[in-house]
Amino acid sequence: MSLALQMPAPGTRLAVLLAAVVAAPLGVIFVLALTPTDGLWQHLAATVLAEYLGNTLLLAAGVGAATIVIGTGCAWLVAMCDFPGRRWLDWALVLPLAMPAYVLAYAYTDLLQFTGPLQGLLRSLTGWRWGDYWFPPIHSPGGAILVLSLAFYPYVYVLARTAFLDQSICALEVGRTLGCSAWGAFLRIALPLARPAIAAGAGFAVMETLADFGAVRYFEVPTFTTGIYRAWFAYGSPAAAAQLASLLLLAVFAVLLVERVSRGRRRYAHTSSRYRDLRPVPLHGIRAVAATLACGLPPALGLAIPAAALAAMALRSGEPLAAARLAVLVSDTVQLGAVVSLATCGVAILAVYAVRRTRGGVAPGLMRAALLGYATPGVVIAVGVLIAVGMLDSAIDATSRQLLGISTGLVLGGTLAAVAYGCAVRFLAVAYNPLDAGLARIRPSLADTARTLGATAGGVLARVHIPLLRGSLLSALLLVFVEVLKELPATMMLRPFNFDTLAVEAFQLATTERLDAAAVPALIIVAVGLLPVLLLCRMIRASRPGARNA
Amino acid sequence: MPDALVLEGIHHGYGEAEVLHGVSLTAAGGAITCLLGPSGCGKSTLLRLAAGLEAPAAGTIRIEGELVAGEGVAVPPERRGVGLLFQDAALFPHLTVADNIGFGLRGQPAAERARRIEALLGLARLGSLRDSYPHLLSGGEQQRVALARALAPQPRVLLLDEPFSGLDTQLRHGVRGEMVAILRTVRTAVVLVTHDPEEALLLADHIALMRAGRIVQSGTPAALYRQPADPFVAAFFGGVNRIEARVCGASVPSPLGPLSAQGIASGTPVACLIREEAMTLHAGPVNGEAGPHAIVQSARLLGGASLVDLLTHPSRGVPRHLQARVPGFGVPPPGAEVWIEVDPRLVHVFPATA
Repeated sequence: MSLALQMPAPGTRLAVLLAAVVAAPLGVIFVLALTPTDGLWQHLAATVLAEYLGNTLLLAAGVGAATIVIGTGCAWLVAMCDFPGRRWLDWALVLPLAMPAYVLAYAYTDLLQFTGPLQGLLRSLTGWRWGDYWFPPIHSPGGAILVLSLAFYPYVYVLARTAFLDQSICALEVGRTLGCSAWGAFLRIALPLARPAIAAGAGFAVMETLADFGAVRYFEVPTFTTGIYRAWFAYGSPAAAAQLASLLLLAVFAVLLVERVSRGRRRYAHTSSRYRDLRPVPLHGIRAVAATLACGLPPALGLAIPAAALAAMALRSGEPLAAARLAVLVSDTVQLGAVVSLATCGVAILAVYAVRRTRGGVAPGLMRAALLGYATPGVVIAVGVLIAVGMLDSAIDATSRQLLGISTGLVLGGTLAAVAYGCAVRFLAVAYNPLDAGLARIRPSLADTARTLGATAGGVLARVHIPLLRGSLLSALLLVFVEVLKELPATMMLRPFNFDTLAVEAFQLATTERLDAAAVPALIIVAVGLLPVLLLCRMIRASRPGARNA
Repeated sequence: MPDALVLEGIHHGYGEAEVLHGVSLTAAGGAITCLLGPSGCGKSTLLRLAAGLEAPAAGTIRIEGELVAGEGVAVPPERRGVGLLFQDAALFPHLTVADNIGFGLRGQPAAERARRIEALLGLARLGSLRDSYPHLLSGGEQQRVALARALAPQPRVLLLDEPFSGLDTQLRHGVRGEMVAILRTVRTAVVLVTHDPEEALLLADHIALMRAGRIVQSGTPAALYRQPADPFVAAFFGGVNRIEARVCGASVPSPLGPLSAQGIASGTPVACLIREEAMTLHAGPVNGEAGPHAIVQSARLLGGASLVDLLTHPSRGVPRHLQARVPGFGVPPPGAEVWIEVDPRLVHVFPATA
């Protein structure tokens, strides 16, 4: 028996506890969904289910296809060809990750609505007036597919680009010597090799699409997420919300499964440890211009143009957000972000350790289950937390009344703790994965050596692991902070009374027809959101095979 | 003074599979003990048990007489006073050379600590690299830093887990020499794990040869080479020619003439292991016309010695392939007829097993 197996208790107990706390909201939803309620299923099926299902599938299919085409195409051009602006576009293509889909939705509404600049230009050119012409409505499933695809194509781009670069020396040159043309090498070698990565990226995009609340709610496209929200708040039916949430969760887990299977097969790309800089094929003339345009369009449409539109809205806003109000919003947001990122990273580092200490057994499986929070739509987590916290509150109340004769009322519901809990559940994986990867890079012999040199287990953590993990820890904190900043449905549904984050305020302004006023908080979200994206750009560059990570 | 490290009746396993089946080992102070064996035989596990990184399922471990594992005791690694050196030097990448060496000196006064670091920098000839970070060092320098770091807290036992196998052949020779010189000056007890018999013969005062979780034989290098306990031990220290036959009287008939049965009863089936270096080749008959002779098939120069492929002469029955390792260049050309003289001290006879 190894030492770790002989004393599994602390690691396993901790991992089980953490996993249980994190999985509680999801468990509550499934329990509630499986509780028989007379005729609710039939009622849902007869009324809203078909519409939710149709729209959700349409969006998932549309966004999946669009992100694959945009992401793979741009990744191939950037990885394999040389054209003006390639170096810039290489990382500019990642930047739209900073744009939450709902912010894109506000910007494009402003750009494309009847009074917007595009239709205004059209009218002044043609002399048409209202009703003379048809213009595609942005508040439609098609519009939602547009903004969601622009927001999520970088997932495919990042993974496909890495896949293309990784295979450079192994396969492509061999393929060319065996008689493939450049195009043939792409179709017959590069694309099949990159297919798992592309599928994984598209899987992320589809999961985010299923989880999206802000954009579809603003565009008034009824999907599962908006349906759950309406079931909870408008109809006051936790049972219906739980039923819908459990269906959505099943769909998310199905996509997750596809993504995991794809990722599991990604291994076969590496047959050689050698890496040589790929010599990109130079493009000339019209083809070079076409390539520049093709790669320039997604970042322009996904970041530059909507950001400019937001800036214009902010400037012309007749009713600017008062500085005092903005200060409150920023303070609330930073407060929530700081609490959640510190708590989440603390829990994540405990969890990483707990899992490592146990080496096998049930703990890693439980932890994987707990990490599913990230795949879970914020609306679903919010409903789960509301139900779970409600149950806990009434239990505390009942106990207190029994023991002390005092009614405690709501202890946790509607407090900052409930929001923080919801966000921590949702973003545990965001903190866990970089920390786990960071720890995996630290050879176990370092810890063993430190132990024989007189360091205790805690000493190893403090003197060896934390200093070496500092980079991972900082990026985990930053990533969680930004996710909290961008998160809309969970914070909106769980926040205490009069506690508004930037995202919530922007959403409320936009949905109450004060779109211009929403521009400033939206711009702040985008500006801060760019930080981790730039970090990601740097990591992508540093992670080139063969590049030294000093 | 009790022995530096004593392991007795150690059993250990991962999950269902037991990897150590009752191993006992003693390492004396001031000596280098080699744990030798093929990969997967459990030798590194034994080292981890001694260091306290894992706890044995059964058996006891004593360091300088103090019980550190077994009988309900489990002293954690940081309180055992053992040094550990891995194949990858496992230097802390965020610390300089000096800080790496000083890692285990926590709790000592700063002046004492600085003095000790300086002494070790000098001992390992690392003075000029004091403020370098590990990734700037060569493989050999990294190993020297790791050794200095392990020696800094003056461990009672130093455990080395294949410390040279990460280095390429050319470098290995030099680093090995330097490190052994350092170890001989500090005179601490050393347990070295290796799979390389040459390394064990070169460095060890005492060798314990392991196979499949058991110690097969333990003794001085000369004893293991001269009096191997079984065919595995005999074959582990170099190439052998294996001849299977049946004892006839006091000798074993073979294509190399009768070999001494070394006390095994007549009629017993045996395996004779004749070391490649047991054979001397002569251009003419040695022991009269009846002496064993063979035809050279090929010869390869290996530097200090040559490896000669032989086929026994048809007049001695069915031709048989033999390999001989002979010194120098004076190697007969292919096709030449040679007469073979066998050094009986390098022939080992064992009862055939199954």
